[in-house]
Amino acid sequence: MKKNERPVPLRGIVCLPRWLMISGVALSGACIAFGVGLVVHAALPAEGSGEVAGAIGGAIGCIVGGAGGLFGTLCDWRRRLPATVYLRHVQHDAPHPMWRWFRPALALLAAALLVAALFDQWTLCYPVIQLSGIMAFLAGTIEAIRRHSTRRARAVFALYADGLLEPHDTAAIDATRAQDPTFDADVRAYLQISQQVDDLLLAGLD
Amino acid sequence: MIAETFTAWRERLVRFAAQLLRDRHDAEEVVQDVFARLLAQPDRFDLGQAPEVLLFRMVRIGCIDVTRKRRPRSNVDVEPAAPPADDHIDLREALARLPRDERETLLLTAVDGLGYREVAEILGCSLGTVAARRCAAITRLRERLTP
Repeated sequence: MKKNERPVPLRGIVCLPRWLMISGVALSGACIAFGVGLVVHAALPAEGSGEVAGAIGGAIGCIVGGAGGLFGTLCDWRRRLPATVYLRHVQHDAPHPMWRWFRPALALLAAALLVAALFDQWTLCYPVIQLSGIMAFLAGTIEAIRRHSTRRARAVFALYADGLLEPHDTAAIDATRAQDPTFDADVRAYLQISQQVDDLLLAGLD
Repeated sequence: MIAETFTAWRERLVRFAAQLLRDRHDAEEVVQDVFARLLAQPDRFDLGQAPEVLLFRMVRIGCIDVTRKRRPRSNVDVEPAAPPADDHIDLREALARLPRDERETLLLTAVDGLGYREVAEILGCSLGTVAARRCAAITRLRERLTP
């Protein structure tokens, strides 16, 4: 290992929170903007009062939903920022409980699409297609994010063990170790194996 | 320039190749071949500020070629079981059974003088991937070595 290597900033390793935040803000912002557009549309002279009421209802839905999305995105962004968040992924590297629904939901979705296409029963199959599609999407997305986060968490952990995280991230992980003896024991075991491996490889395997 | 680089890095390159190939003789041949190519075509290769990145990359490719010639392609190189000789034998076996990408990462990050950034350049991946592979490899070794 190179001596005096420059510390690695956490944002250089963990990019998912940034992308989730950008996507969440963009989607929520678009939703709010669409709601504002509906308000403007409702304010303009319209022929039927039903159209105005519908536009206002839609606008309220878009604005409230978009604001909720924005709030959730920013909370999630803050929650995912500290280095210690990722250590939980290293400690509990197991598939998310929802993952077991992914394949059944995908199979159901495929079956419903096939039946709807073969027998031209789209209206009848629509609820099944919608429900199984949502389930498959959620289960797949959550597990994909979990796997990605676990890989990033391993990177954070390895950099911490080699003393390459920035001081404030290192201090946060040190504080977590001080509070959690199990985690501290895990870190010590990791460092011990890491040192043994490096010694063995430096000495040569042959 | 090439002579100085040879003197400075030869032993570390041979050790890295020997650990990948598990054959010191083949390792020395791979490293000799790399330096022979550098001497034959000095204008083609820029040793520049970080010659180690180019050298380790060339040696790694040379080792992959030798491995391909030896046996059918596989991501896991399994060594035949050897009789235990010392305390390190379990760790050695566990190392030999690691997936190739994780083993390469462990070998390179253990080389004196190479940092995560250089290893990332050698392997052609991101620094985060190097760190994640190292952690995954050590976690796997720990699981295998724990009774």
